[in-house]
Amino acid sequence: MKGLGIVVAAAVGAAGALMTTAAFAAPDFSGVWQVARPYSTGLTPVTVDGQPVPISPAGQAELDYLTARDKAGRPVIHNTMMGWPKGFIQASRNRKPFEIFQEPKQISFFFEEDHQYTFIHFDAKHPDHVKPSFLADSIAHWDGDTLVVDTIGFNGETPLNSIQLSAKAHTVMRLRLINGGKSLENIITIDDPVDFTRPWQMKILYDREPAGAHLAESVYAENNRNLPDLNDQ
Amino acid sequence: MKWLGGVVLALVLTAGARAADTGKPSDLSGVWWSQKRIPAIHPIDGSAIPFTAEGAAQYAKNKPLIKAIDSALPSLEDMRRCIPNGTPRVWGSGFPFQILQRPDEVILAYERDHMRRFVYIDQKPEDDPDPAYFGSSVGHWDGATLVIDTAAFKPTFLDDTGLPHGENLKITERLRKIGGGKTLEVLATIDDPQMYKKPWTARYTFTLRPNERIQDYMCGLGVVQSRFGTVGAVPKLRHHGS
Repeated sequence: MKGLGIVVAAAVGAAGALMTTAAFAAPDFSGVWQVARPYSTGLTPVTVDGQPVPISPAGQAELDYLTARDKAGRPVIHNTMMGWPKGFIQASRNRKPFEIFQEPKQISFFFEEDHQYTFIHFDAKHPDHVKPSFLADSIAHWDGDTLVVDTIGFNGETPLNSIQLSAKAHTVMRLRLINGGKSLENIITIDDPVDFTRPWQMKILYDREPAGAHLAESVYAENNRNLPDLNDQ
Repeated sequence: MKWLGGVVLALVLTAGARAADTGKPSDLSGVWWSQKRIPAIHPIDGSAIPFTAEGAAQYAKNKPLIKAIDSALPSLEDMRRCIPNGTPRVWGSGFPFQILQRPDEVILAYERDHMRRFVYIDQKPEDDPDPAYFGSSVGHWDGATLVIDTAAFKPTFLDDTGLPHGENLKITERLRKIGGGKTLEVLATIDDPQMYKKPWTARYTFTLRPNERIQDYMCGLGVVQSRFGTVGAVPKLRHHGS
């Protein structure tokens, strides 16, 4: 009977796999979202384990340098001032809404801030040769109801709070709907051996905006007065 | 030149007759790219641009201004090169764009300066929209053609030569597939009695590029970086580590 048991188990397993495949429908993240206040820029990132961000000596040196410049009245330029992309994490923490447009092969994030957007494709793997960029290269897949976004290829100029993620950074975001679809949770694993002593996780919650919410046009190139001196950096 | 205009119009209409209009909204989604810049636009009937006196005078002022803006690197004093092009200028940028489409919303995402437009389908125009470089758009389907009506523009140029517009500019764009679905035609009708004596229409065409993806474009202080290369340099923001 043992053999039959194996056959039955195999048949049930195969049917289960088929049913799972057929029944799976990705949750719909479409809509307009905005960061919940405790998780927004200007505040210390919320770590999942409640521990301080494990910043490395190099990361701390960068922070100390920026702080000293600020105190000396010679602030350093940053991406927002420059009109440069901030990357997904920081753009999504900004207190301006963003829209998710979801399709089977691509999920798109349109940020109100400085009309930035990023397209994430449901690809199996990153390109063999990633061209470093502010937004880096992201690929996505579904792990049950959770969207997993794997990102590499940063150019060393993408901000995370006050410092820039290094070119060696690797992030994995896990996004899922909670609170009956009214909130979107993003647990981000940040592995950056330059800025941090170990991989760590930060959490961001986004609130769903009411139906019919629209993004406004936001253009930073209009407001670049009183910026720091480009030659004093 | 009048006969030439007639020929052009006839060709356009013939192409229109070949367009597959099923009477239902068509799927315009995908990446489209002409791979060529269209710096200057003209009426599709071959006639001259119907400037008003004010329009002609403003155009004469704009021509050297837009050259100066587009040739200088964005600086502390002047970031105008990074201001969104607005429409219809953006159609002539020479960069690809992607159309994302749902029954209630169409998004036009242009690679050039990561500009994007949200077109809300079958909604009434906002009562008192804030002016924007891309204005405020609503859309509807006329058979298989997507019709986009846009108003409330901030000051922009209508093309790379500096064609002007006034405060009450209205643009109607008609997007449809032609050529067996592999070509997208965009007809942009400019209605601006302040600058032009009568409405006139410019035409653009784009090729479907299934294997192309939208890339990063960055226009910021001291640098413009795109798929075509980097002008200027990215100042190092990071000072410790690498």
